Amino acid sequence: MIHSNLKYFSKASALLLLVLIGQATLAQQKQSVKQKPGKVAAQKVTVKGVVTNHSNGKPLAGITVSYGEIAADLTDEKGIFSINVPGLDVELHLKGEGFEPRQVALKGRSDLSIAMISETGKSFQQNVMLQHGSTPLRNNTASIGAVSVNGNWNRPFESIDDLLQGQVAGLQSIRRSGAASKGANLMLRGQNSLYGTNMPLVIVDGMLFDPADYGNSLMGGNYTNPLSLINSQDIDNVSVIKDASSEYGAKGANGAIIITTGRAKRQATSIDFGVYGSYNQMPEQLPMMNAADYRTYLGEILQSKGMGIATIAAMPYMRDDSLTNREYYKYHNNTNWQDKVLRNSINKNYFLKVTGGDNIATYALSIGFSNMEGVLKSNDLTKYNTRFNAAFNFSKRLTGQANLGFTYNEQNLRSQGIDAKTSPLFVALTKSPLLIANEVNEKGIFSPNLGDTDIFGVSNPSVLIEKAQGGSKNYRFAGSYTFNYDLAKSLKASAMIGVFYDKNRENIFTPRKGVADDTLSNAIADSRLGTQVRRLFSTYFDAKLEYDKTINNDHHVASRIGLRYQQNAAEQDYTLGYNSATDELISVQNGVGALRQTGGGINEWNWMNSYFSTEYGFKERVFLTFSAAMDGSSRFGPNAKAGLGISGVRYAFMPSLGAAWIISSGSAFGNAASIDLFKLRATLSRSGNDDIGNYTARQTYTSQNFLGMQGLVRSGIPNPSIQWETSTKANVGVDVAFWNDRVAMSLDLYSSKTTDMLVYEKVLSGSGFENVLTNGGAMKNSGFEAMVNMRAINRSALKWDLGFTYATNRNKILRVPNDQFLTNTHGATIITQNGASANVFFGYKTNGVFASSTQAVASGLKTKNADGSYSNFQAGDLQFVDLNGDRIIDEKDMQQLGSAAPRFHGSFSSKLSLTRFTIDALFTFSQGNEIFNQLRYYLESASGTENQLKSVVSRWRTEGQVTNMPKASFGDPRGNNRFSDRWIEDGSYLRLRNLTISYDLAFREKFVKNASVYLTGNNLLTFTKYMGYDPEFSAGNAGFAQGIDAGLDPLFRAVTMGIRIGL
Amino acid sequence: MNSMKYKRKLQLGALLGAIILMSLGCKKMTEEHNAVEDPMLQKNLFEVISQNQSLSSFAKYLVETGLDKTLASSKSYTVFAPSNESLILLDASIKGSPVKLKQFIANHITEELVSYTSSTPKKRIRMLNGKFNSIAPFSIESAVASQSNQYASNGILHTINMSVNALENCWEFIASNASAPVKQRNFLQSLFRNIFDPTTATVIGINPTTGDPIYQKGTDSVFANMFLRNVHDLRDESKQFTAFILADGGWDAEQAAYSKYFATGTADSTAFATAWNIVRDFAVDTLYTPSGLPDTVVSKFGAKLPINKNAIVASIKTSNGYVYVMSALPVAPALRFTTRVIEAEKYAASSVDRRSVTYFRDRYNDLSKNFYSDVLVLNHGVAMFNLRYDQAEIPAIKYKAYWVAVNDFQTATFTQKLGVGSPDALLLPYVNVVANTKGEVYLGEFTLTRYSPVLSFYLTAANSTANAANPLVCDYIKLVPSL
Repeated sequence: MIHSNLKYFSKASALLLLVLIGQATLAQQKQSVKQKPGKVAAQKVTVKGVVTNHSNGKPLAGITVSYGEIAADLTDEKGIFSINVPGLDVELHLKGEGFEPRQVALKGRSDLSIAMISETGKSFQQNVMLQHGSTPLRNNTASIGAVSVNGNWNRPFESIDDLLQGQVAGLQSIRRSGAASKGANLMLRGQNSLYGTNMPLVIVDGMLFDPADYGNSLMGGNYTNPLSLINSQDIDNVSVIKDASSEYGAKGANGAIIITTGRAKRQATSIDFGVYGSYNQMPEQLPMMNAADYRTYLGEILQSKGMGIATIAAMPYMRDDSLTNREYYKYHNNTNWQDKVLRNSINKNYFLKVTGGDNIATYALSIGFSNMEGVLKSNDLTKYNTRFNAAFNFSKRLTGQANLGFTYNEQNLRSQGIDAKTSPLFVALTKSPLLIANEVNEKGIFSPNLGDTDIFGVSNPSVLIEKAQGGSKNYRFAGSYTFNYDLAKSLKASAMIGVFYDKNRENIFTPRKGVADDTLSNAIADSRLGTQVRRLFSTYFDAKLEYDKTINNDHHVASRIGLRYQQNAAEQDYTLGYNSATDELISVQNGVGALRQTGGGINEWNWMNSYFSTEYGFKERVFLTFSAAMDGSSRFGPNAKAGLGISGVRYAFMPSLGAAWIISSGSAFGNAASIDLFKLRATLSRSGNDDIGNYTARQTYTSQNFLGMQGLVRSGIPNPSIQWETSTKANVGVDVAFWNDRVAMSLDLYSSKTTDMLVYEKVLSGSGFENVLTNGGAMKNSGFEAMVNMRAINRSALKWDLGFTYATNRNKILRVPNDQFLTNTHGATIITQNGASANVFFGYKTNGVFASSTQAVASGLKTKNADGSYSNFQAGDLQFVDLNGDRIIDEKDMQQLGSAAPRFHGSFSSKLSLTRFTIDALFTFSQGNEIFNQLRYYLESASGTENQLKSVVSRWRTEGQVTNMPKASFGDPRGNNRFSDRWIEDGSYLRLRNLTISYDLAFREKFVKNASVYLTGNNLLTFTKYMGYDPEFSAGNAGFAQGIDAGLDPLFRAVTMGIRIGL
Repeated sequence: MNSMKYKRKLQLGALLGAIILMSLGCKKMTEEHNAVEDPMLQKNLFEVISQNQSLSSFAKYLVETGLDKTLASSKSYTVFAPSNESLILLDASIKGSPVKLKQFIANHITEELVSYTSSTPKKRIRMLNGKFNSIAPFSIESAVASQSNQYASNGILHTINMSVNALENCWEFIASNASAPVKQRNFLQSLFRNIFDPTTATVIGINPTTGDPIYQKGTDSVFANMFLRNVHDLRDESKQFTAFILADGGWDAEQAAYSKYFATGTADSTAFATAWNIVRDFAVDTLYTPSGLPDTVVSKFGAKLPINKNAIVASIKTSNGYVYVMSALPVAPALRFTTRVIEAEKYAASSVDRRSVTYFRDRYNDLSKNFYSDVLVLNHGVAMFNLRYDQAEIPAIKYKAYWVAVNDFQTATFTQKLGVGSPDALLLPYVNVVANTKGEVYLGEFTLTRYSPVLSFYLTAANSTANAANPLVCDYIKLVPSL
């Protein structure tokens, strides 16, 4: 389908291209006529000036002062320059090695005095790398966050999504878990889609880099993060485009992150080598009940189960006589199981990077090795990575680039999160402290063998750590070649061909001894075996024609037209086996044949995007941009309503407009030289989200087994009118720089509206299906962002840079089917309701615990049982708020309990340079986000024999006891543990995310260019009221999973020491 | 410059100080949530009791008996602590005996969690000494809670106004209390036997011919009392019994009155059979308090004991019921010897294996309006084919015999008979089984001159091999004492 349309499309684009080229050549002719008088006019006025170093007031020599491409001068040893310009309303550019570039509007002055500050990397004069190359941030109409990673020499163990935390206002990076390389969930300016992705588009060296994890891991709670396959030490800079990403058409709705990897900056060979070691500190343990508290609890819970006291007293854990009780030593211990699964650990990293070349080719080659041990025992990650970036000058006109990267990960993993059978951390928390890891005989002699499941049917956490196996081996090869050909002076053609190939192989083995059995539909599974391979193959093609021309030094036009095409194929194959003969047989073919399950899936999808963009700049003070894209995708339904129809196929049309006006350069600001930049900008754009499922528009079938009869059944109702989600964004911003460019500040106000948002609509039950995916929803985000960077102190020996980012976003659902719907996930109930924000927790409110029967009777409250009958609340039960006053606590009493989205989030940063020392600190914060502490739900529900938090000691025990912890009641008959504000916590935090002290060593030997020592602390301090391990986690990429603490391996504190030597 | 640096230092210091303060402040949140702040929950039951001045005597006895360690353990308990005043009058015999004192103190502690409310259900709860006490709202036995529902880390404490004595159970009273009559006791105590019980036996081999296990001598039996085993286990604290014990005079009178019905070959065995058949009716597993004692108590074996309240010498409350010492408990033979109904389909054996022609039928009797099951043996081809029924404890009395035998399978009348003691015994004649007779048919009467521990009855077919003449059919056989 898409192939056939590609033909039409390419025809259409060819036509467009022809028109454009025609126009371009026309323009060129016109310009060449006009240019001559311009050049003459260029030397009318002479401007003189002196450039000083701001830190000591001394004159600066060797600073390039230029006007456009026609005039330039270097300052002499007294810092004096002289330059001829066409008039006194132009702008001069100043550049010098080690100094922040400056752009100075003359505003009628012919004698200048300029103080320059050393590089901050944060001013508006910095060039940022965008879709089509590098441009000064100052000249952009869009809202852009620029992050200079510069090889990430101080935090080598973090992947790029982690590193982006706190760097860009409005980009929320929430780390998924403490397991190595799990990365972070990225969200730009709130949640734009309910069921589609909210992850910004990632582009690495010009090629789309798919950051999604296709298919599920065999190990629960795990996520394979493709972004960790870009070694962060290879990254040079990152630009985050928050709006106006229309050029990426139906993929641009969530903004774009443009990553540029390092390349040779000069031809001389330079070698950089880094060695790092890191100490990872075990997270602070949750305070669980000890053996004595637990046994008292156990006696109570068993009595509430209806077990007679004689039966309870006969249990091996209650019989305290070691002579008659053969299992005395097995059940009379006080084990801290968290100690058995958590540990302190060590990370290692080696990295070597060589750059160099000659006038024909330059290259950057890097190789790296990392070994990261997690804080969970047996978890580790070994990573090998290499990258080769090269730039070639084949001829004067033909140039090319190659970017090749390969990363291979070998990871040992276990299940994470709430998994009562195989997740070591969760089992350790809930395992009875009366037991012990090893087998013990009736005389109290311990065996080195690990014990089996206990009397409560709970797995042995040490078995899950030591005997179970789980591993993933994955790699990604990403490579691209780009060829550029200069057709004319201002006209350039380029083409990129890229490919990436992902493979992820997983193997698991869960032994029978020491692990609770699982139940299959037709058997009991004791040992569990599995293997899985996931593959993703993607080819990418981007060809464009670019026109770039400056006319008369006043008008700058850059236009391009191009075509991108991406072809993807993903495949997943897995086999699960069960009940191998012994625990020595661990590979999947040893499972019982009859129980073997094999499955998988193949997905193919294609995307084609033709784009046009043009920028116009007038006198470097007024900028206009226009871009448009037309997207075709194999995912779109043939009957989609929006977009353009070309021979039966729908194409999304995504235009955007932008404008910026630098007021400070004009006369409006008079001669106020204290304001270096005052710029207004605005964009209006439309983009799309094509994460609508590969085959939603088509009728698909699935195999089914019914009473031994095999067959194919429809797997849902196709929606041939399914289409992309449309995001319409408006952004107004102001960029201000003053105080000799020492302060740079950006403020942004935005609003974005998602229409055609994917929602599930209920269908008639007679159809045999529950719902169908449609484009029937709408949602809105609006917010404010601020970014301030400041050189607070600028002395020769002491420099202090301060940074601040702040973002606040309000989300509002405009339209969903039936005005509202509930989603149940991870034990939480979430309401999506017109007029409210997305993902609001929806449950009961509580009002303490009934201290006495009188109180419970007086309240008259009843709860509805599963069978429809009612039972009264009793003393020791929770008092739920009866919202509708009918004395019955049921779903009508549920109310909104807050949202996982923060009211605001952001960061502070500080960089203090003191002679050779640099102290770099980054604080991140998030305020007003609510967390459903699902882990605490399990550890405080007091409804089973699992160990509980120490807080459960304060539970209600007898009449008249005033407490806020309800009584222990087996199976929770009164529903005290229903989803309520009891489990909702304030997830606000302020964290000292990173603190680096680096010291530049002085070397006398000439062959060492530079050497630095780093001491970095990660997650050093966290201030929060949150009661779980850590307030930062992400249980899944879906919006619905945000703010739910599903007990994933927690983040931890780490201290890294490293040394970098440059030759 | 210097002042700048100083300022910077000051600012850094302030920032650091703020961080430390905040961290201390925040740390408290998680700890606060998990801290056990209730002072009561920081103490165990023993600590709570020993810190209560009004319970100092109880606390002292707890230490003496070693139960203080129990109450300091991590198991859950409810303690009904008698106040100091109520322990002043504690019997010296209890104080003096460590065993009795422990029994007494343990009678105030239970592992069950009892929280008193006005709606606490009445029930008996097991105390730490194994005995059961009755609880009701704010009371245990006859003691009343003066202070209730105090809690500690490992349980609940109620203060009660009087102590709860650990009573003897029914068996302890009958078997060992000095005030219990001697003769019945001696007989009951003579009933201990070694009884085969392989549950704890050690197997030392397998019989090669039968395949049965061979047990080590001495391990394959338990020393058990026939009364406790076959009638009621009066030692069981969890149940409640009413037991009667006859004063020696009354015992002798009953023996004399009944010895003729249990005549055997020897005087000893006659005496034993008489005593056993009388005493087995003297306990029921229903609690009858003195005020609630009915006129007639029906024993497990169907005997109707007429209770003359004037004959009650003493009523003893025990931990598991009541024992009544009776001067006499005369039971008329008609009340003791009950009608026996033998279901014909539940035979013990047949003379010849004829399972292929034996039918167990489920029918409806339109005369008695009952559903019934019977046995029918047809076409067996054996003269005097018979089915055997074993009946235990048959006294030496006269019985009238009846049966219901429904001949609905042939029109011809045939005959069958009930053989008492042997298939061809002549005590009862052959009786016609007429087609479609659905009522009880009188077979005649017979007198037994000797008591039989086990007596076999036979349903015997006609002495013929002709199929029409020798069917065997019967719903039930009824033996009515004729005294």
